[in-house]
Amino acid sequence: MQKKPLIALSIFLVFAILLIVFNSSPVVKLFSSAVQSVFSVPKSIIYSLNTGNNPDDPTLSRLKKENDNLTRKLIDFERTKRDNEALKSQFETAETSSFKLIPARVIGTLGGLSSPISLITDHGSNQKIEPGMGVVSGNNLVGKVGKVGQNYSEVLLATNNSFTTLARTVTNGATGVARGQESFIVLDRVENIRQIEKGEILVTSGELNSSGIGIPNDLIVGKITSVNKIPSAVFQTAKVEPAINFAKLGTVFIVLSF
Amino acid sequence: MRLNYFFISSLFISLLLETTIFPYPLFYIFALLFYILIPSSATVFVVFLLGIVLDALRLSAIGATPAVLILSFILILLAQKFVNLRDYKVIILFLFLGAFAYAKMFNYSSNLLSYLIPFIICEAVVFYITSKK
Repeated sequence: MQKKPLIALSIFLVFAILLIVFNSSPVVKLFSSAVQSVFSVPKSIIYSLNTGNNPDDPTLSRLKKENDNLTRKLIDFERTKRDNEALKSQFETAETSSFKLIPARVIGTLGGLSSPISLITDHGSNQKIEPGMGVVSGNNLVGKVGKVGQNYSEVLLATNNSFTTLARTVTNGATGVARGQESFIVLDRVENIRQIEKGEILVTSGELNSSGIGIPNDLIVGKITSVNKIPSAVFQTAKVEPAINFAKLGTVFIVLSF
Repeated sequence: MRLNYFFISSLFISLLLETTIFPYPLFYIFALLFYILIPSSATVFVVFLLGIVLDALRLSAIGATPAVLILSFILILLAQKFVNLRDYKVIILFLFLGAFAYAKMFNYSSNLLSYLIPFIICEAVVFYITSKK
């Protein structure tokens, strides 16, 4: 009795599997690019403002429209101002002044509401973004580029479970691996003989692949808030709080080269 | 027909919201509800198309969301033999289990408590619809 819907669903399932298999085909890429372009503006607007309902009264409606236009202009102005400030502060940051950076606007998040694990930016392979590129804000590490679409890219935040990078403490120079744990970062694989203290600043040690892509050194990862040291263990770990609130980022900077 | 429009617009809004400011599997929840209440080929087609759009916006493999959703629909179809899918408690259970598995699969928030909010909203909507019929 359920044969017909089951057959229809199976056909759709086969189509879906075919799409997954031919994900890198030009047609799928073209479709993906077109969708990303079309949705870029509404996503950007939703990310920055809330819309209201239009009342029935024509005068009120006109005033509301005017008000909406002015609000939109104000928001555009504020956004431009914010972008300019971010750009100004980024290029004034001495540590990153030698990097080749590209600003990208955040248009979405993945993960928890208050503690996202990934950001979606409006820059993709069309803007020469590649997986593994470091992402910064000021001289703070935001994360690294994960998946890249034609017009969008995903930034794996330093708190993402899939994020790892080499890091060292500023004061004692203890090196280890910083890995994301969703709401905080763990500094792992630090030799037990090395000294790490609560309150120390953790910075990146830098990593670079054969194509010249990676994370520059001396970017601030965060501050150590607790140390877990067992005398009989080979390694010790530390909990690290990120230096910036990732949920509040509007513009980030992707490191093209350094 | 009005229910159709309600679900199509809900899916579209979910698509925009969950890829920008509200990272919860709203699309999956509404798509499952849509199929449970209106199990037609047109429903599957709409969900399939919007699922592809969601994949493009979320940078997932294109086709992954429709594949998972259609597998869920097949499970629902098979489960119909054993449970009454018009019972809102069964619907909520299906939605909760499905959405949680989907969230784990597609890197949404894994905080169990944070799922209570959308599920309470959905329970209220489903209760309203099923009690009206």
